[in-house]
Amino acid sequence: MKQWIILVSLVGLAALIVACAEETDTASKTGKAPTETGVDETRTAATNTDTAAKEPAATRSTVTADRESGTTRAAVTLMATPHSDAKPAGQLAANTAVDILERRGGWLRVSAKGTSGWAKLHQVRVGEGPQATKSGEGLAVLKNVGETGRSGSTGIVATTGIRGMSAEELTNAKPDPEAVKAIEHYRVTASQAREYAKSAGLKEAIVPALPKPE
Amino acid sequence: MKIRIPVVLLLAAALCAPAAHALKLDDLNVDKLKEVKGKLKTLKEPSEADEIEIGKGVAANLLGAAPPVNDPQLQAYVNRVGQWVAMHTERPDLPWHFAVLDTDGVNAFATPGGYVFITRGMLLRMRDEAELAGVLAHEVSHVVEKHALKTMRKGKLAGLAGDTLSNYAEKKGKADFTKIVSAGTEIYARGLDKEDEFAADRAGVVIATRAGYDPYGLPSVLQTLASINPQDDAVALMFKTHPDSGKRLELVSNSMEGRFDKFIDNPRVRSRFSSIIKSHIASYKPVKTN
Repeated sequence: MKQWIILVSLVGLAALIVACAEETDTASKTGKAPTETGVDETRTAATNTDTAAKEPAATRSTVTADRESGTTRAAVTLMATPHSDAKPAGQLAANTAVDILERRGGWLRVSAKGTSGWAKLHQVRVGEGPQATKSGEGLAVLKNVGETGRSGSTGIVATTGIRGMSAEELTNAKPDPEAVKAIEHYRVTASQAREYAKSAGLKEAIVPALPKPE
Repeated sequence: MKIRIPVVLLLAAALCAPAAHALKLDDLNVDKLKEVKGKLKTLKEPSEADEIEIGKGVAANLLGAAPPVNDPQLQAYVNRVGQWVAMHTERPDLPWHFAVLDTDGVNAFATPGGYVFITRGMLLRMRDEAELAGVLAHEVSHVVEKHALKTMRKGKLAGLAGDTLSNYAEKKGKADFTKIVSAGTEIYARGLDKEDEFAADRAGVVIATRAGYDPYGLPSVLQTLASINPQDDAVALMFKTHPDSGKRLELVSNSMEGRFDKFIDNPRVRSRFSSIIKSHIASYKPVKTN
C-alpha cells in the first residue's frame, strides 16, 4: 500500500514537472509572459530580428562609448555621397555587421569588410547590435547595463531602475496630483527658452508643413 | 353631432400616424438613426481651460503610474528644450509642461492642454538634443492637433460616450469630468489613431526644424526604436500603442525626401545633452514607489 502511494505521488510529480517544462518552453519561445497579448506589428519586426540573431557570435562587433555599430537589415548598395542619385560605392549583404562612422541627415557612413559608403537610416539596425536582438535577450542586456554600467546603444552609463510601465499599471494607476504640482514647478518662460536655444546656436527657420502622402 | 364624428376620426387618425411612423423606424436601424442624429447635433468644443483641466487630471494618473525623476537639473533641461520647441507651433501660449518619468520603459506621452512626458528609458537611448527635440515635437504636435480629444469623441473608449466631452464643455458636470479623465488615461494604454501618429511624425520633424535643430533627430530615434528587440519589456507598451517604428521611419523619410537638405547642417547639440545626461546618471537615485 505504502509503495502504491509513493508510486502515485511520483507519477504526479513527474506530470507536474513536464507541465512546468512546457510552460517555460512556450514562454521562452515567445519571449513573453503568457498573459501578454501579441501584437501584429511587433511580430513582423520579430521575424527580422530572428534572422539577425542567427549571426555567429564571432562577427559581433564590440560596442565602445564613442563608436556605434550596427547591422544591415537587408542587402544595401552603399553610396559614394549621402544622396540618392550618388554613385554606388559598394554592396553589403543582409545582416552584415558595420561600424557607423558618421551621421548626416538621413544617412549613415558605414564601413564593413573593407568597404565604406553611405546607407539610409532605415537600412541599418543600430545600437545594441545583433546580440541584443536575439529573442528574449533584451532584458539580459538591460541587466548587463546595470552590472557593467554600460549601455550598448550609446555608451551611456546606466543603473538598474524601475521596470517599464505596462498598460495595466497605467489604467490602474492612482492619481498623484502632488507630482503634477512638483513638475509644474519646473516650467520655464519663453525668454528663458529663447536664451537657452541661442546659447546652442539654434536659428529659427520658416518651414512649411509636410503634406499627407497620397 | 354630425360634425363630431369626423373630429373623432381625425383624432384617431392623428394618433395612429405616430404609431405608423414608429413602425417604420423599427424597420430601419434605430441605432444608425441615433448615430446620424448625434452627428447632426452641434457638439460644443471644450474651451482651452477645460482642455487644461482634463489634461491635468490625466497627467496626475500618468504620474501615478510612473513618478517624475528626482533631478531638478534634468527636469529644467527638458523644459527649456520643450518650451522652445512648443514655441514653434500654432499654440505657443499654452502653459506647456515637460517632465522625465522614472521608468525604464521606452515611451513618451502628451496629455491635452500641454503636459508632455518622456521616460528615462527613452532619454537614455538618445544621442543628442536634436533627438530629444524631435520626440518632444512629435508629442507637442499631438497636443496642438488635439488628437487625444478627437479619440475621446469617437465613443470607443470604455465608459465614455461620444458626446460626453461636449456635455462636459456645456455643463461642467463632475461625473462627466471623472469619466473623461479615466477614459483619457486609457488612451495611453491603447494608443491613438495610426494616422495621427504618422501625422505627428511629419509635424514633429517640421516643428524641430523650425526651432533650428537638425531635422533628422526624430528619424534617428525611430531608427533606434526599430533596432530594439520587440520582445524587450521596455518597449512593450510603446510598440503596442504605436505603428511599427521601421514603417514610421520609412514614411517620414519619404515625406522629407529633398525638402530638408538645406537644414541638415543644423546643430544636433550633442555636448550639452551628453553633459546633462552624464551628470544625471552620476547622481541618479530611483524614486521610491509603494
